[in-house]
Amino acid sequence: MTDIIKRPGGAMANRPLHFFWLADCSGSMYGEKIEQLNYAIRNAIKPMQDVAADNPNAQVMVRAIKFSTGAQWHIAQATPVEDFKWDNLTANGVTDMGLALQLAAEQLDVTQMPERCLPPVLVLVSDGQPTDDFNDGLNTLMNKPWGRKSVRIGIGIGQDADLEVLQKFIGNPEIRPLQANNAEDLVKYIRWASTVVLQAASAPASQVKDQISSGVVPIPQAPPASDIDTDDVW
Amino acid sequence: MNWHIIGETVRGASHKRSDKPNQDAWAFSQNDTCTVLAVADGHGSSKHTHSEIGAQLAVQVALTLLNDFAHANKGEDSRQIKQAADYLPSQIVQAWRAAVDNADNGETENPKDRYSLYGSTLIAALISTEYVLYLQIGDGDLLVLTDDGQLQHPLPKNIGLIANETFSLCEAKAIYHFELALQFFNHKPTPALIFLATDGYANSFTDQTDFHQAVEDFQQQIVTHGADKIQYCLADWLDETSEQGSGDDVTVTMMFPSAVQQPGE
Repeated sequence: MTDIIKRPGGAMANRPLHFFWLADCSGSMYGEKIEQLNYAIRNAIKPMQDVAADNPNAQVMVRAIKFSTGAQWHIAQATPVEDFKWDNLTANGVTDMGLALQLAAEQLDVTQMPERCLPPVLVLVSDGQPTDDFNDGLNTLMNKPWGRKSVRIGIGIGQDADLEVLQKFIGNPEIRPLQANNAEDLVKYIRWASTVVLQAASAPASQVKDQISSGVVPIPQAPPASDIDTDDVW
Repeated sequence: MNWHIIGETVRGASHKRSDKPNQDAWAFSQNDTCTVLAVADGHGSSKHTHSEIGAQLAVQVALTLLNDFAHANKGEDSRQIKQAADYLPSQIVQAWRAAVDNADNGETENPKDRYSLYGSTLIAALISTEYVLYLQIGDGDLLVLTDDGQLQHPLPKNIGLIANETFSLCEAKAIYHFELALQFFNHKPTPALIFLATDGYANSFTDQTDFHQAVEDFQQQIVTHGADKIQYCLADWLDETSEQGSGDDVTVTMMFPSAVQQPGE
């Protein structure tokens, strides 16, 4: 029994988990909202990296889409979370949310994302209502196998955020959109999405196909909104 | 023809980190009439807290029913055997549910909830002198290597099962999600190797090619080094596979003609 025999098979690898930020950069986000969103995402990078490091069997890859008048990649290359950095977004224009979903959908094909991947996570952050054909974008997303299986989180910023649209994006009555009415809540929700949701998606137990009511990954409860002075509310 | 079996199951790296048990199971039986090999993967989420028991019950039910099937149909013609095989999915589901009822011992009142707690996949192969029968419900892999080195999937792939979704013995419509294939040796040659694994194994390889390479390597290494030596190495290999790959529980089993189990023969 002393001979060393090569382990059968080719190269092994942990399972990719693709994480997408979809950030509203419309004119209404100008000022404190976009500044706080930049701060909140940057602030969540280290905890996100810590969560990812705790699970070496998942390789978390981050991308970001910004949408205002049109939708563009803010981080186009799937970036290993350990190298993830955040450049500030700026705000201007309308809210082409549907185009952002279409852009994400292009990457959610099994030709781009093989079957051994973990369910992708899409976090949509918006302070308003779509100005383009949101339903068309959502249909495109949901027509992709990985679009349907994705974990979708919606965060509304301020009281004008269209929570109904965010709920349609989430597509799961057991997960409600989160409404951040102040900077503190935005930081809290962005961190929750970056850590708790990521952790749940990175080690999912098997789900029986015909019994899935709450998505392919059960998502833990989000933190409650804070009690805060009405003067500080967006 | 006599068949030799090797196999191993290991607790997944992520299960070790989260203090979960190994929820896979495997078992085999052999007698003068047939050899049966089965693997099962308990689902593991919070809805399936007894799935490691459900997986054990699944492989035991498969061994019993497939062994009974082989004995009951010994000497029958192929048409009779095919007709009898059509009943196997419902027989297996019924027997598994009865085994769950027994194991649960009245703890869970609602039958749907009870079966869900014990939810598991199942893959099994039965080989006799006349035929080989393959069946599967849920994720995992069943591959066959032929004498001329071709790797075959005797069962159709489950379309639409990506991410962590699976079909299961615990579903109300479980019998409709079984895949079954029956091959008679007067039409097809006997396999050189039949390979069964839970999904934690294939998910640990970079791609399908690297996974398929493993099946071919196993066969080659059994020929070169002998079955005992490969069995000896298997647990370490599977531990390494789970650690460097999926993190999931990993079970790999295979059967092959006994004539190739000794090195150099």
